[in-house]
Amino acid sequence: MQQELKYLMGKLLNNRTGKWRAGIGSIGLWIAAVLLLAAVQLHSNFSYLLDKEHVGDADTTYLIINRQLNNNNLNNTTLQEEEIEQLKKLPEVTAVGTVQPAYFKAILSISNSQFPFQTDASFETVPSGFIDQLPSNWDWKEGDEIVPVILPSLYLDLYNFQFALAQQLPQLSPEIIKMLTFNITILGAGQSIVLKGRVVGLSDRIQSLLVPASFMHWANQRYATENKRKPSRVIIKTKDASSPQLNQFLQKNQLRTDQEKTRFSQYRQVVNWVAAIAGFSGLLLLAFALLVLSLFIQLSITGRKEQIQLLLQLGAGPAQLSRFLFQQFFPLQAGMIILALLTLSLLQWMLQEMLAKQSILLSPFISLYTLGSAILLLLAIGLMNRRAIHTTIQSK
Amino acid sequence: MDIRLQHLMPLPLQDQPLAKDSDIWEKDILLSAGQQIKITARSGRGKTTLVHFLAGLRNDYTGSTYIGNKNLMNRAPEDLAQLRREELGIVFQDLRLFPELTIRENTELKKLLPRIPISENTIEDMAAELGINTLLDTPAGICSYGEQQRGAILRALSQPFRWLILDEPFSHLDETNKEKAIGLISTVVNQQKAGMILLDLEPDNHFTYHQQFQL
Repeated sequence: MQQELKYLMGKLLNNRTGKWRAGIGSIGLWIAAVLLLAAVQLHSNFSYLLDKEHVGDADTTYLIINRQLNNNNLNNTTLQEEEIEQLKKLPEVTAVGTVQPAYFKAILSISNSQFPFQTDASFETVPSGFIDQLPSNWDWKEGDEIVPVILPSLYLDLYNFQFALAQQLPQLSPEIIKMLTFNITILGAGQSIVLKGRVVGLSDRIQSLLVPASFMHWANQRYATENKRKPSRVIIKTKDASSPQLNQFLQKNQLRTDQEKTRFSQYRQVVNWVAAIAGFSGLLLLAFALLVLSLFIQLSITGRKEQIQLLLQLGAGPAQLSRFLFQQFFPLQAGMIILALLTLSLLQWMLQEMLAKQSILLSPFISLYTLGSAILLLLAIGLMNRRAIHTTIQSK
Repeated sequence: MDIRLQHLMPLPLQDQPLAKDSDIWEKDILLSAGQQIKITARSGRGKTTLVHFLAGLRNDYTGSTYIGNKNLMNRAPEDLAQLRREELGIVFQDLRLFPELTIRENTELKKLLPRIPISENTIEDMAAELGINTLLDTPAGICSYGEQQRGAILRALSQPFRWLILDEPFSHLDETNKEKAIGLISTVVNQQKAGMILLDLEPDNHFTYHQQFQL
């Protein structure tokens, strides 16, 4: 289209009233777009905060679960098969492993004049996948000289900072403790055997002396003092220790675990409600924003209906006029959406800064969903413009 | 390019007995290229309706309107736009100027649409002939109705056309300005070897008409 014609048509469509309308409409569009994208971003932020999966495996929690002990179930704390199966089916639980106890008596000792040591002990074993720092030599077969043992870090801390100080014994670093070899005396079924043991790793996760499953199997077969019982403890792997469903299940079945790790669950229900209310408000905002948007487009195009009609009567080609009108309105509207996106980016960054001070971690950038929504919004506005232009040009 | 009206009858006039007496409604009329036509009618007989039919702005009628070989009803929107741009010059009864544009801009807009340049000097000369050269840069909206009427004539003459259609074009002009406008219209119509249809309330001898009709 020639420049002079563009200028004249521009003058015709952007008169003072038109500019005023466009100004007001643009502010309306900007507000609507900010509200709409904010609804999406808020939803993303909530999902980000509530859904811990984004943190990856670092946030995976391991819980050891056993029965709540009371005066009625003393010595009767085994877990039923059905309970373990139900645990496996919970959506938050990604893996369940049985904690296998030893059915024999064990004594650990060091026959060293400088460091005499002897204690009764009991072992447990868990599937390798549940061990936090699995040593490379975590295996045992009959005939092996050394039985590898994993010691809870807590036990070493108790020794170093409590027992050693009180008994005036030397403190032991993790490196030293891994160098010590001790005797393991196994007693049971009228037999006994003395084996060598060595600490090969320290666990922060499982507060129990762990031995390889192969060793436990071998020793239980030979030295078990009683018939095999069902396990009393299981270890589960979960991405969401505070899940209300998981905690309801535990309560219902009179099971318990580390309360510290599940304490957040009582707040979660409330947070879920707040998130639902926020989502509903977001939907209302969305509806309101779309209403403003469609009114803006109506105002922009149908507000100039008379001029458009007269241009057509004078012989302006509908296609040429459509293109011209689209170029007149869409760049400004697209600019408003981009401005809204920038506004939201700034707000998100400010929110992230503010929450970071309270140790709530949020992404400083707007989510891909928000960006996608902005693109969808642009497409929707483009289509709404085309439709409004088409309707105005077709109407007589 | 001939214009042919075949049994044309506006739907709003269908039940009016007076419409049966018309020389045009429900008749088979041929307006040959280059002819000058006068259509006289009292108010309410459908002059403006006929102009709108010829421009393809309305199609609430029975019968057919042919401009050239094409039935207006069957023309695509782009085809109709081309017809209005390049074949028809129209002075509407209600003028239809953009009040926010000056007389010059109104004229330029019409001139620019067909992309066939008519020199600025020609427009200035025609404006002088119509006595509105001093108003060319005045917004149409603040000109008097008579001045706007001459502005609308200037706009219609500023484009190429095969037919010039004038709907009560001199209603607000004094005798002197009317004579000037008639002179200019005659000259331009002859230059362009175009046909002309003048619709008015009363009979007149402004032009040498080839055919005259009562609507």
